[in-house]
Amino acid sequence: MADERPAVKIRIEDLAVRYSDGTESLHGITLDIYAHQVNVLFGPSGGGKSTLLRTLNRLNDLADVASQQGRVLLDGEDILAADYDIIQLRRRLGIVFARPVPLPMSVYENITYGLTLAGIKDREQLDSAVERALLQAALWDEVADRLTESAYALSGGQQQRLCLARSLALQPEVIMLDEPTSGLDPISTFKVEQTLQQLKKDYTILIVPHSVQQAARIADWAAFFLQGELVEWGSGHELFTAPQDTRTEQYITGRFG
Amino acid sequence: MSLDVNPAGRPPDNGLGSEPTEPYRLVALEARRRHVGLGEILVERAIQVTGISAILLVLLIFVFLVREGLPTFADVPFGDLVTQRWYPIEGYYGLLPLIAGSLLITIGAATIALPLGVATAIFIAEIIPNWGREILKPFVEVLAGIPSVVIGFLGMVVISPLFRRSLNIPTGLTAFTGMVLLAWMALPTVVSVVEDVLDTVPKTYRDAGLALGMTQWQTIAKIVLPAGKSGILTALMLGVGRAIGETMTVMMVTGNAPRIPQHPFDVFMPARTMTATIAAEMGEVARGSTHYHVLFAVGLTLFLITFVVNLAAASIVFQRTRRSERMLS
Ligand SMILES: Nc1ncnc2c1ncn2[C@@H]1O[C@H](COP(=O)(O)OP(=O)(O)OP(=O)(O)O)[C@@H](O)[C@H]1O
Ligand SMILES: [Mg+2]
Repeated sequence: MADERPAVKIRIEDLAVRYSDGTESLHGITLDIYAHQVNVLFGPSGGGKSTLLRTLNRLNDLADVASQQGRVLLDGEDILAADYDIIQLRRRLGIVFARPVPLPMSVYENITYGLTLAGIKDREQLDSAVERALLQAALWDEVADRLTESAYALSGGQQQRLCLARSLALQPEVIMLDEPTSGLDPISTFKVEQTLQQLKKDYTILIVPHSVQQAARIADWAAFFLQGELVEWGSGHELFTAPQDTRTEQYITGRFG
Repeated sequence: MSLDVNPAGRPPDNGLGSEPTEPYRLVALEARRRHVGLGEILVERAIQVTGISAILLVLLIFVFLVREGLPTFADVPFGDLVTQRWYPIEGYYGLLPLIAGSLLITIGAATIALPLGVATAIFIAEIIPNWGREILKPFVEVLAGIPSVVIGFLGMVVISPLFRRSLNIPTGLTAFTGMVLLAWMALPTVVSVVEDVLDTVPKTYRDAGLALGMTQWQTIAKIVLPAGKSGILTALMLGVGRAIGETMTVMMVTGNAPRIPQHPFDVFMPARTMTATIAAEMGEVARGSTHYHVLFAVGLTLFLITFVVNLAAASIVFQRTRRSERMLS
């Protein structure tokens, strides 16, 4: 198993992030994100999982980050370099947050907005992109005849999948999801999880699940974060059945966390 | 809207409607009745009394305005009130130039103050780093407290001569001078309210925009401002409210000539507002005279205009909240 690892999409080398209030939210993180796999980051609250995602697409550039060390290589290129094109980076690494944030426009425009910004104006091209993205996000059936309605008229679960569709429409290479199902009911959660299994054919998935159970259900690869430290990582099967570190074992068996 | 949410552990709703909530409410009511103490009753009463007396006061003002203003319609035929000549000494009581003056100056002030105020608020809330914000914010709030006489004085001594010379007009005391100074007065209010509004737009909204590959400006224009639309409208109305009721500054810098502007260039001519008219003439009229009653009618008109503006603002804001409540469900 260890010899047949998939291609590396993102390589994180000795990454450390410290916020200006002094908390070191990540230190010494070395981790590979594999292409066309579901890569899971999990661990108790405050472990630095969101911080890592926000570092990867440089959303943290605007937060109070005091220092950032180490390297993050996307297909071998250092994306933390000062002159790296951030707008382009964010189109390559899509992100979906815990709370859906639809743009104040129609369902259709929510999906096309990013595309028009990227320079696509052709109506037919936009139409087909909308349909494709909504199908991929398992939302098409529910909103096909509501495309002109305000996105706020959708239910919470639908809004969440709309945000996923919005990211997918930009055809990113990596989809990052930060607790995408934390506000959803079990049925919507199940739909999203199923969708992920479909999506990994075309995308690299990097997800922070909202529970250990969900992590175990969906992980091809899993990394356990504890207070800014990467305790261990490996294939999901190994990590959840035979963890190497006692802290990992205690956490996944529910003895602390 | 959709039925895909089924809260865990509760049996599916079988169409019995609100039945299950009824007994629960009764229990809560009973529990409350048992726990109400004397102190609580007193506090509740005190709040009731203050609340009601505030409403009564407003009503009293209104009643007083109506009582003193209404005789106007007995003294002066309505047709004479809607004429273009205000010259009380000769018995001309045309209100139109006063209304036109007030509206012109208020709308002008709002048109200047809104874009400037929103831009300043965006600058303070979104662009400058934290330390700059901590200096600028209280600074702007202090500006809001400058008394209007002081601004009017500045207008007379500095601004209006400046306009007269640079625009080469006969007098610097014009409607335009009034607009600029009123905008200046309303600006701090608009800035600090809009800034507060932008502050309450969650950070996650901005992240969502940036994560889509939008620039910071696109995020502000497409996400942050629309999210704060109703708050910005409130700021505008507060600004307008302050401008239309403002008296001292306007009286000092607008020249007070009661004439209806005929063409666009007339903003550089003197004008007279309803407030300035009341303030200037009330001291000199005989109590109970026609002129006296007409001045109250002017006040009544002002009151009605303000009331309508506030009502419009409230209804728009109210609609917005109802929509966002629906969003949450
Ligand atoms: N903008 C910020 N400024 C200062 N400190 C921050 C900021 N964001 C996060 N932190 C700190 O960094 C640490 C890691 O936070 P992070 O949000 O990455 O954790 P997490 O693993 O995503 O937790 P959760 O499961 O609760 O989402 C926490 O101690 C947090 O307080
Ligand atoms: Mg998090």
